[in-house]
Formats: sequence, structure tokens, C-alpha cells
Amino acid sequence: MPGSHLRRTNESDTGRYQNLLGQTRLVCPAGTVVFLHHGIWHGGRRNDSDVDRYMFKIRFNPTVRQLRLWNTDDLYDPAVAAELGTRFPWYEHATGRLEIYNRVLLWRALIGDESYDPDYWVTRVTNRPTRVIAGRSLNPHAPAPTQETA
Amino acid sequence: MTTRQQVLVLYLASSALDAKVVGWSSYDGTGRSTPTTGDSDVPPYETGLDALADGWRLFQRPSSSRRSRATSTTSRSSSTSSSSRSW
Repeated sequence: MPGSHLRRTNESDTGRYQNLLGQTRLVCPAGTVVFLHHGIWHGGRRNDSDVDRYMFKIRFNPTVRQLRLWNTDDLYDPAVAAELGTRFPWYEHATGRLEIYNRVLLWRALIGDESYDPDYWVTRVTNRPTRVIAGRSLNPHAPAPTQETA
Repeated sequence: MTTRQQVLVLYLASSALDAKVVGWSSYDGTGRSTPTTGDSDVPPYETGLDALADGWRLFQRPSSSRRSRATSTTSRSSSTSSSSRSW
């Protein structure tokens, strides 16, 4: 299921879906090697033929942080932001935006830039203003003025 | 004659019955077909309401899982009406 790798769920919840809008089918000749994010929803289909087919699954787990370990010339290309904002046919109208939010967090981890936030999705979710405008006389929660010392 | 059910489950984009179908599963109690994962890329109906209009009978709307769901939908199960579609 394209676009499913950051959706937190479990197989007992997803197992009920036989088909989802936007699904793709991995049909390939023998010897094909495919790379997938480990979190992407997937399933083996029933084999209705008389021929057994085998698949070898190798899981890679990073031992070091994957920080800028590739050609980084185009980190801030607008195409990156467009890719991070991709929506898929099965996404809910509003909840689907959480995928974009989670993708931006993943991208931040990969590029080491905690300020990267195209369309401000992370800011919209996590922003907690701390600046207090009203003075103490109007706002009992404002910090007490610091004592001036001579 | 024994009546056997065909069950069609439609997962909708929201909890409204006329919302768009984003997922679907079917189970055939008659044994005439054996639906499975990845059967088709096109939903059998565009909305839950379309299925009702085509004669499917709504018999259950299970509550959502307590855990986060694959899609925030209300699932809808329909069986063939025994009066209109008995096998």
C-alpha cells in the first residue's frame, strides 16, 4: 500500500482489508530484487496455481544514524517538499495530513534540520506559544519582575 | 432450500454511509467464488449508499477498534437479502 509506511497500526487491524484504494500489486519475474520500507503495509496473496514460488526476505537495520549519507546537493529542492506532501487515494481528508506530518519528521531526522517544515505542518501540530504579553498587573500568571540590584 | 449469505464489507472514508469507499472485502458463503487479497483495484461501489441502492442489506456496523485504525472509517457489512437474493 503506497503511503502506508508511517501509519501506526497492527496486522490484526489491517488484516481485514482485502483491497484498498490505490493498492499496487508486486508481480515480477523470478530473480527480481525489491526494496521496501519495513513499515509499508503488505501481504502475500493466495497462490491459486499449482506452482510453488519462494521469496527471500532480508531485513536491514541501520547501526548508525542515516544522517546525510547520500548526495545532498538537492536537499532543499521544491520537489522534496512536493514529495513529502503526496496524498494517496485511501487517505482520510483530514487524518491523512498526519502522514505528511510524520514524513516531515522523518525527513528532519535524515537531514539533521529541525527547522525544516514545508507548509508548516509540524508547527501547526506542535506549536505551543510561550511568550506572555500581558503584564503582571493584568495577568496573575505572568512571571514576577526581576529585582534590579544596584 | 438453505439460504447462504454473501458478505460485502465496505470501508468508507468517514462514518457517513454515503461517504466514498476506500477499502473493501467480500466473503462468499455460497462457495461459488473465493475472494481474496488484491482481487480488484476498483471498489464494487463508489459509496455505501450505492450498495444499498443496488439491493445490499445493511446488517451490521461494528464499532471502531480501540486502537488506531488503518482508516478512520466505520465498516459496513451487508448481506444479500434473503428475499431478493437467496441461493
